[in-house]
Amino acid sequence: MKKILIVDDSQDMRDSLQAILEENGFETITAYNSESALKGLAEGKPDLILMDVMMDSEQEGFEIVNELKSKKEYSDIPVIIVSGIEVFTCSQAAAEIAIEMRKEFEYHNMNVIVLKDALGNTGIDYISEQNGKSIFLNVKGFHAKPVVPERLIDLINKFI
Amino acid sequence: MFKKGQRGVEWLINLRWIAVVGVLLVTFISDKFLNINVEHAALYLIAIPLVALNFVYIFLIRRIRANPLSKPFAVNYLINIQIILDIILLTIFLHFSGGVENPFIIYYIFHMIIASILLSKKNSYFITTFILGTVGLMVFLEYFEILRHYPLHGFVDGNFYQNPKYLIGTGFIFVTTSYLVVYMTNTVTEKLKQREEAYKNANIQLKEKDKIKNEYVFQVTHDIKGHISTIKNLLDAASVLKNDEKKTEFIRRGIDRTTKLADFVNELLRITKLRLNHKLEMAHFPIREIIHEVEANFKLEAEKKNIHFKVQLDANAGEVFGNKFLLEEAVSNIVQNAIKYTSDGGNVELSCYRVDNVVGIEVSDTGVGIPEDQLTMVFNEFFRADNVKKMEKDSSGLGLALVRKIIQKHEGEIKLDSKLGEGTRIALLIPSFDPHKHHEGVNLK
Repeated sequence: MKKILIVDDSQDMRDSLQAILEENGFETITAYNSESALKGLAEGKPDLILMDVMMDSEQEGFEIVNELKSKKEYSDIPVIIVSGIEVFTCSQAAAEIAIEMRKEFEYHNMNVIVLKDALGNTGIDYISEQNGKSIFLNVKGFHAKPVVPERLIDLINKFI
Repeated sequence: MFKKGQRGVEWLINLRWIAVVGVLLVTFISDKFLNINVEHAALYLIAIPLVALNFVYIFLIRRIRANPLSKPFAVNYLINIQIILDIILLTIFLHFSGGVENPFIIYYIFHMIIASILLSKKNSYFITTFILGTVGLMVFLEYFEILRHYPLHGFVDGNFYQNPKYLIGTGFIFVTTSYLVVYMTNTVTEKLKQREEAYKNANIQLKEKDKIKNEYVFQVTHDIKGHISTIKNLLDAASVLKNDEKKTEFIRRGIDRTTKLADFVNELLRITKLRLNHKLEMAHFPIREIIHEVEANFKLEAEKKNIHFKVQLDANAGEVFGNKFLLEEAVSNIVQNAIKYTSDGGNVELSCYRVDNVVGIEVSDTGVGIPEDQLTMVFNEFFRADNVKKMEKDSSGLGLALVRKIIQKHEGEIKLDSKLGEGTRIALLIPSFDPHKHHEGVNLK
């Protein structure tokens, strides 16, 4: 059975995602912040991670993914961001323009840009709250809350 | 300012075309119909430099506009040069058509008004003085016959240009009129400028307020969306679960969340209502009524958490003037927070007293406290201190904002004192009832 790690600070969210995924034949483990996520990973490598963004801090989810991608043993785990944050979605081709655009004051709310290429691959470029730098995250997908179970399952099945 | 100057230059250029037509027309009429005997050729010729200069000005303003590095004073120079050259040309025109005897001498007033509108106060007084100097020089030179006088035969007969009484009288009127015109125009222009500035500032403030409002709407929408997302997912889970017991549990949690969302929306509506509604039903009543009510409502909750809930009510606390339901809500909110953020076995104390004409309601607890750097923010809408955010995920962050709004409506004051990890003390200070000042049903802002 494929194992999925669910990281979300809301217990209601965690439990319902867990129930939905288990009914669809996945094994799940859950975590509610970066610490518990790392603990969960240490107990056994999951096949995929569903990651919330706003937890104890506003960008905690992004920070966890950033850390995992820098670690050899976890960098290959596919990550899907599941969040209610406001994002700007554009194609890979328009990425440069979008990243340039958000430097202008009128677009300063465009903090998180979800980039998609023709093959449906996804990446996320966000401005770090800590240092104001633009950081690119190599994630497999972005699923906006409220979660639509069928669509999320389809997305998961693409990668595992 | 720079843009305005550029428009001023364009305005002058347009006026000058009209002046060219005017010069030609007046000369033509005086030549063909009025039979006034002057140097018509010279007067027609004046139109040539006017037209030529206008083309030069057009060229210059285009260059200034095209160059992004142009300085505002470039436009100012251009305006000054135009006005000064116009004055010289008008003086030449007058010289060839009777000098001081020509009634068109009044047209200098236009230059003064234009200068007052387009240039600084100092600059417009300079232009006026320059005009008076130029006219004075022409009159002087003609008077002593250093320059030839071209009389307006057939229009003005008699040598006024050499009549000292006429010259002194007209000169006095001309000089005083000139400075008065400049003074008045400057006064009006200044007032207009001030008003424009005021409008601009008001506009900036409105934009700022609009921004805050938009952010508020964004925050509210985001919070509501969070609740709805969770409710939807709880119900999604309930619908796929086969185990009946689990199904029921998820439905129950969905209901709990819905209640939380409803509470949030209700609080939001109450705050909005307080904000919009300037009228509050006010009456005087003994403060102990609120204290007793709150005590009764929270006794059980405190007991459940094994919290020692003590109430102390001064016998002479007396009456306050206000809306009882709102004040009770404010006190309840604070007591509720105190119980929520105090751990088992802790103390919460509600006391009520009166000092002079202020009634104080104080709630102190031995709870988690508020981080020092966030003390000033806890009464802001949607604000939640870092430490309590971790304890309870789904609170609205509106409770204390509501308290602040209610106390503001009662012209009261809130005192806050807290130490992280040791406890919090909040005092609501409300004016006590004063029969001379407070009248039943009074509307408070």
